[in-house]
Amino acid sequence: MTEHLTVDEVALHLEGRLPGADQSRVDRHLTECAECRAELVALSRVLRRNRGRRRWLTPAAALAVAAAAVLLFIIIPSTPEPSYREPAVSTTPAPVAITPRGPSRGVTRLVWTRVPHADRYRLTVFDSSGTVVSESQTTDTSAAMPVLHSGTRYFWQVEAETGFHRSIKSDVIEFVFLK
Amino acid sequence: MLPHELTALLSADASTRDAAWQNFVAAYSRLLLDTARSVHSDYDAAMDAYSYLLEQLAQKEFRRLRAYNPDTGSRFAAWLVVVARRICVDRLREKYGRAGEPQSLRRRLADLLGSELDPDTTADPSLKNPESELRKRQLADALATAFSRLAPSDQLLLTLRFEDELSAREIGQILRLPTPFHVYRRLNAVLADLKTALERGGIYGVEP
Repeated sequence: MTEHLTVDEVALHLEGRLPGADQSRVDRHLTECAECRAELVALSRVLRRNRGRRRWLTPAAALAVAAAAVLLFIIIPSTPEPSYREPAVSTTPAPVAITPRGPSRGVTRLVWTRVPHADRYRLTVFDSSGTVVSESQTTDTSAAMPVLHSGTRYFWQVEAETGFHRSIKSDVIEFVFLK
Repeated sequence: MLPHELTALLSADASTRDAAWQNFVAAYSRLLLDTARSVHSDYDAAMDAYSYLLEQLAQKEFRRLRAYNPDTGSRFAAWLVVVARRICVDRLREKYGRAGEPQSLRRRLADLLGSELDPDTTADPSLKNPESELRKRQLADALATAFSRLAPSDQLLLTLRFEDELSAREIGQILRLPTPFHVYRRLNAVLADLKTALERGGIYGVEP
């Protein structure tokens, strides 16, 4: 195996900025080297967690931002609520898909964990091309399995609605439906 | 271009150095603390590593930070987390030595190519005869050869999925694939290629 990746190679890979010629060599090394892979995975998580965070503001800058916000609030008349907005950033735990996962024989219901304060769950089943096969809503934490082809790979995701225009989604889970 | 906190720190004189260092730490403390936590799950150990990290970064007039070269194309934050993690890991190794090779968690690729292609399951374990052993070795060799002929990015994709057992979402983030669906589609395509390559080599199923 070649030597471990340099600091710059890992940093550039983390940002997707490796030049094409280096990319193949680095990918080959990562395939062989569990240590460099572990480093890349761990740091990718660190950067992802920090990506959305705002940098610190100096007290003066913070004051200026606050003053501008107050002025805007006073000057600009309130506008109606937009018909759609992104789900709010929330510390609410996402629903976790319990079953089906992987090869699933004889499973008749899709089951997930309860989300506190969720008043409705929206369930979506996709096929492997990303096409929606079934959509349903329920207040329960389970739903009947839609009609699916046996031996076919599907994916499902559940979205918990926790308030007006607020929701949180589970991971997309893969399963193979077997009768 | 250097971030302004770093520029200020590296150009500070004795009278402004402390203030510049405090500004630098304020700007990057969360990132550095998260990096320490990526090495130590225990809270106290992570805080201890964080203090050590700051000491090391400040040492010898910020020698480590001076090594950052923006011309390489990497952003400072990405560069810094790599340096910081290596400092934490090196310290851990100094204290406890290198960890042994982790137990391989590899779920055999052959599982997804059809259980009939898995070298460990192709032969009846009760039949430990030279012929079945040879067959197992041939299948393993064929799989290794087909794998080595894949593009490096595809080899890495399969390794992240079946050896490291990462989620499709995380693989997408590491390999810059936009959604888990793109990961699954790519995986399906690569596995199909691998299966075709094995079939071209005359490997279809259990029977030789």
